[in-house]
Amino acid sequence: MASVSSFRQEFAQQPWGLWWIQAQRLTRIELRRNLFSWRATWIYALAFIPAVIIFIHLVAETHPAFAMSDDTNVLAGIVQLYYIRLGVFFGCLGIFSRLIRGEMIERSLHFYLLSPVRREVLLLAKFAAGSITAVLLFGSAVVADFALMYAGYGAAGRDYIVNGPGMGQLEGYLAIIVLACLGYGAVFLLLSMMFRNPMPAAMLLLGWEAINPVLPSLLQKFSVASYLRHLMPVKVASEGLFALLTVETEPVSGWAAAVGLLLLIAVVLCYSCYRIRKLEIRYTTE
Amino acid sequence: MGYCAQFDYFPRGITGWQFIFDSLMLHGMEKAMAVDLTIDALERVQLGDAARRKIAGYSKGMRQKVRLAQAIAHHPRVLVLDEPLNGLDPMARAESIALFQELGRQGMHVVISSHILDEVDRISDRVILITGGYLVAEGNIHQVRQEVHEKPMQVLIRCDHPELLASRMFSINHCVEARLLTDGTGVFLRTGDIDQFYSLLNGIAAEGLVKIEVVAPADDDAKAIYQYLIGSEGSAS
Repeated sequence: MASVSSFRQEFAQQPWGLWWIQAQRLTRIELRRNLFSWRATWIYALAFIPAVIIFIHLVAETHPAFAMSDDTNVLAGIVQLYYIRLGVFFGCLGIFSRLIRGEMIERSLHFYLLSPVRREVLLLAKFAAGSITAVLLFGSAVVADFALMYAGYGAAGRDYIVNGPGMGQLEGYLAIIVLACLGYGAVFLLLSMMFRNPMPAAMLLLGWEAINPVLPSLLQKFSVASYLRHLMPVKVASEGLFALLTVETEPVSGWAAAVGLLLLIAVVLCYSCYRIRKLEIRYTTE
Repeated sequence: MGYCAQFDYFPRGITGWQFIFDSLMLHGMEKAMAVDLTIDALERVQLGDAARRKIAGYSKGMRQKVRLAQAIAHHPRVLVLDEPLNGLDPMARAESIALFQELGRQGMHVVISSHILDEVDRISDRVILITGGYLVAEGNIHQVRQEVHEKPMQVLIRCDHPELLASRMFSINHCVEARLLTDGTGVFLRTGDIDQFYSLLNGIAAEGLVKIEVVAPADDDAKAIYQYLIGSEGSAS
């Protein structure tokens, strides 16, 4: 009981206000570097390629009302098969592995480690900045995809969005994108601290995510994509080649999936905080 | 405490101003105060005009200065500089040394880790010689030299008859080595007892045997002491 009380006292005495200010400022610095850098160009391209294709589809083809359900399925496929499996995956790999490992390679991480900022604050601020970057890019890309997909249907499209299930689907897609960015971001941030070159580990993770639907249910819990699959507002048809990537497993409620993924992210971040406290830089071997 | 690392690398795409300002903001300072301190730090290292340029376009000397500005911007009492003179051209080196001395005069404790012992010698009040992680000597450089009894001290004497001076010193059995300068204007003499040496030299000068122009210790600098203590040309910290 005494130890709980002393822990509470110690907890309350920590400079939370200073840490919050430092985290905000670090996040702002990292955001500036993430968003307004030529190195981010390929991530912009990765996010907005589907929007360009959908725009061509909008301009080049007619949009009879009966085709709307097909386009809805196509959009669901783009989110599940392109964004979750590839776009957000590789985008987050690019953004988050640069945050720590990139700075070690550029030999500039010591400026942060030598500043009077707790390493946990540094890590969480970098994670926040990476997450905001990824969510801004991929979230706006999904909104653009959605708007372009239904723009061709005129009044019917507006009615589908405003009065039909359209807006709910968009919210669902955005929630998935946010969770995907957080989930993959946390994992890649950790991998970038564990490995000098996180790419092989990322490829293993990609393979793991691909075979995850056919694994036992316990192992499915260690996958970002498996949680996200349960949150999809529109189910992608399990036909042909897509069947491998869209295998339906045991049903899980949306809330359970979201909470499960957030727990997974929390665990990964806690371990990352532990890792960064032990982190030593030897630039000569990087 | 301020720290200036030896690594000549910076966060990508950053300007001199951003580098210092961001660092101050991470201390938790108010923005107005961080702006004032950034301006002050940049002026102290004479980088005000280049502040808005990207560091990637700075010369080596300017990069050294901006790192120094970042280390002193928050007015630390102790400043630790790791190899601050590495790779600098003579002009930048002289400017840096002048700045370190100025910071010292302003009351800052400046701790310099360097392998360039000649310059350490010029700017240090106290030296700490470390090799292989072990402390081998500490203190004022001249005091340290005098405590190295097993190595006779070398003194340069410029005079009109160096050969006479050398022979006189040997005749009273004091010096252990003499080396005449090739131009005949002086002699290096080695002695095991520097105090007695100066006393004898005064006597010789008073006799009028030689006309002495310059007397200067030739090996009580950090480099010589390091070589005596470590026995190599190796590095010191």
